[in-house]
Amino acid sequence: MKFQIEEKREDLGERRSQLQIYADILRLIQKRGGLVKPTHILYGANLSHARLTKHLSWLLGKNFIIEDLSSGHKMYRLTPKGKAFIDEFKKIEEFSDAFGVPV
Amino acid sequence: MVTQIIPMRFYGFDTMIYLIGAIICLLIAYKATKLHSYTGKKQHFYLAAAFTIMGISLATLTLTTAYTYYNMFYLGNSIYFFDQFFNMDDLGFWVYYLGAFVAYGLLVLMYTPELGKSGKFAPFIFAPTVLFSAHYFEYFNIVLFLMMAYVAFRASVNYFMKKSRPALLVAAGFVLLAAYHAIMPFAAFDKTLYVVAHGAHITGYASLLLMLLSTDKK
Repeated sequence: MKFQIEEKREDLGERRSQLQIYADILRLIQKRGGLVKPTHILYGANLSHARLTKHLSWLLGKNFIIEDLSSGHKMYRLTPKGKAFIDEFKKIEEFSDAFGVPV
Repeated sequence: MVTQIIPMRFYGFDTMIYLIGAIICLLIAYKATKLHSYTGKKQHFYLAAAFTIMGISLATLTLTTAYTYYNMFYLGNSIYFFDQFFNMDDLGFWVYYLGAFVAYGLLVLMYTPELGKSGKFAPFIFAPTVLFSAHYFEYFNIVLFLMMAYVAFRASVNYFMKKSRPALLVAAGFVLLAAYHAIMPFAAFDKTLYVVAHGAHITGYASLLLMLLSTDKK
């Protein structure tokens, strides 16, 4: 898996890697109880609609999230695999930061 | 011969230190390889490669020093190559120093991503001069100290920016490894310094191990 593309984080003026964006989206879903509407992700993750669609389809493809239509609306649910990714990412991010090399 | 500067009572302890260092390096290399598999970044590749090379070099040194001491103390002879001045112990140190040279060079590259394609060879410019050096032991330690001092400086800057415990442990680890190389050339004058240098060496690796443990449990 390679995630070389970087995007601008507008609020902080920093650049975050694609990997960080995936982790941010998953953390956002986790923070909101593991089930969210797409609009909540859109505002929370600070992404354009086009980019969000692209990222969500990648996360769906990896089974980190699944679509949930039980409430009548399209919502996204965090899977155990997605939760495991968040935990693993936190560890590697901490390890990388310890050496001063961003993820 | 390197064995001339080792205090008699310390024989074997240094082998244990190299073994522990090798294990810690390979553990860090494993984690760094995992990190690289996620990100695909060159800097993470340099980190993984540096610790892999260091681990293999220290493992080689562990085997050669253990073999040398076994032959000296139990069989009463030394294993020489070429002549009576180059033995198994020297071979191990050559492998270790060359490995450390490449590994530290990769760490320098990791901390200087701004270097262009031609600049990538900058950390290795001293390499050919070792062929003209009569005292490889002192020569390598001075060069390795300079390289590790730069790495320690960059890691320290990272700590002062982040103020996190893992960053402190990495900076402390690299500072102690730099101290090891700084002290070693003086071991020829006082054998006690050989022990002091190895104390810094093992403490440096212990610091890196603590960093690894603290980042793994989160």
